[in-house]
Amino acid sequence: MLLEVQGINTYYGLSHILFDVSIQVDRGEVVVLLGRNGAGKTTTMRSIMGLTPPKTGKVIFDGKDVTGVAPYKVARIGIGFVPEDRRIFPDLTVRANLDVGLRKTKGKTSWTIDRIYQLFPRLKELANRRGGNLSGGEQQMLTIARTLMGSPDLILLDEPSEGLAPIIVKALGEFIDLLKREGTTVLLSEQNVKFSLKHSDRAYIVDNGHIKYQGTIEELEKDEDVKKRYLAV
Amino acid sequence: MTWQLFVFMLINGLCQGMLLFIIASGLSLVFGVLRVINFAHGSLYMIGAFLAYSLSTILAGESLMGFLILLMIVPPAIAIIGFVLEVSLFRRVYRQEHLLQLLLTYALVLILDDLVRVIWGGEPRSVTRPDLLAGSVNIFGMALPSYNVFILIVGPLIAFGLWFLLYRTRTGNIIRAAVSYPDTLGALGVNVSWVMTSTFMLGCWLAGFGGVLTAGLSNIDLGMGMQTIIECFAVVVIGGLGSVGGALLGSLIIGTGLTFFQLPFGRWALVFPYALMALVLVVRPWGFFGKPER
Ligand SMILES: Nc1ncnc2c1ncn2[C@@H]1O[C@H](COP(=O)(O)OP(=O)(O)OP(=O)(O)O)[C@@H](O)[C@H]1O
Ligand SMILES: [Mg+2]
Repeated sequence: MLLEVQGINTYYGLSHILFDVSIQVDRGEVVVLLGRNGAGKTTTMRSIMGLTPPKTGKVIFDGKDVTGVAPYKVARIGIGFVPEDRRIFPDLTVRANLDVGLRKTKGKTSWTIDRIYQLFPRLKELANRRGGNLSGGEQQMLTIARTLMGSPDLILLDEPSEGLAPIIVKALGEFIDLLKREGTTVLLSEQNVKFSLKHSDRAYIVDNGHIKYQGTIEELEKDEDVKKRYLAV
Repeated sequence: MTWQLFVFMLINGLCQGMLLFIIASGLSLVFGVLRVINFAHGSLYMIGAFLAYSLSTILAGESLMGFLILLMIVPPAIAIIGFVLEVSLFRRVYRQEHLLQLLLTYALVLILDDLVRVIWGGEPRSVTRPDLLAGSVNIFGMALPSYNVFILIVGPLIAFGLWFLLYRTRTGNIIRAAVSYPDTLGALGVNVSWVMTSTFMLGCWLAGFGGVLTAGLSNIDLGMGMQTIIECFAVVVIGGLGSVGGALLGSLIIGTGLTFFQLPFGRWALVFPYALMALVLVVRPWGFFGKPER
């Protein structure tokens, strides 16, 4: 297993948000975490990253216990996080945003700015534009590209399709497929069920901070009951 | 007013402004990244000046070399004091409410100022200027103090250095990214608490640098820290907290303004920075170069 989340309980202050959440992601997999608004998807990712460390339970990455480890160290060990609110540095140019994400890793998949530009030619055209002056779609591209610059082994994509036009969502899906071919492991969080099922290998459903379902995409596709109950499909 | 007097005063005003900029830019930079207004910045500046005084008596520095050594030793020494303060105290209050931060830095002002009183006593001191900078230079048939001209050269160099660091290097990108979203920056693998420590050290270095330059310009005394922090405060309110460009503009306005208003208004000129600060707070509370708070 590349990532093992073992029974974590996470709190914001006094409010208990995640209850014994366990998730496993194998190397090379694309796994999706489905759930409604407020279900706990973002909190799960923040727990893995160390941004909101769990009170109990463990996060094991590549055999190393990273529970409670500072986010910058988690990032250096090989987990990349793409926040749902994008958080493009507004005063930095597109190129500088990418440059800040650059990490020299001994790792397997190594990204450079040239490869990023090849993949997202639009970002090359916008290289000197301020991050604050990008459209929503461009920002989403940049936030993913910025995290990729750190050449992570596992990338956490938090609701990437949110608020994007259908054509851009389609490109995003193709991009996730490409990451998978390149050997990058992906943990995706989504509400867009159709999109997720198309591009993932396995799914978890989180509801009210509890994992309510886990299985392969084929299994989930057939399970009308689960889909109706948790995903409002 | 003859045009010679005008130029003379302009140069003096710009010189004051540049000095103020060196100190205020440190305050502003630290606020931008750490989100803490460090009232003890003025005290660190004062310690820099007094350290320069003590060292100059040891170095017997009327030589240019001696003075340059002061400029090389004192600012890093203040930066090291800053390191200790940041790691032991400031770090604990970043996520606390503003009142607590204010109490901490104000307590530091009291402690540091008393420390200076204990170590150096209450008498005014001064650093003898090196021979080379003690005389005057002839410009447009006017004799201008060489030391002021020296500050007028050093100030823009510092300003350029800061601009270059912030806008032309990866370190600068990281500092500016930390201003916007420190958590996001951390999740990208950057050790943000080290970014904060080093920014704080840079701010203190600037305070120390300003202290050395002031020690050569005029008498130094126990009140200088308080007076300067208030002027710096006016500068960053006018220019915009967190903006180094704004600090430059604000410093030059206040430096030249103070000098020119002194002629007709005498001591009343000291009101000028605060009047201007109040005006800016009413018209444009986030300053000329700042941004409204998110
Ligand atoms: N900073 C916070 N402080 C307190 N409670 C929070 C905080 N952030 C999130 N919550 C609460 O935690 C719960 C889970 O939120 P989370 O953001 O993980 O959900 P999500 O599945 O990502 O939802 P969305 O699809 O809307 O992004 C929600 O009930 C939310 O109100
Ligand atoms: Mg979310």
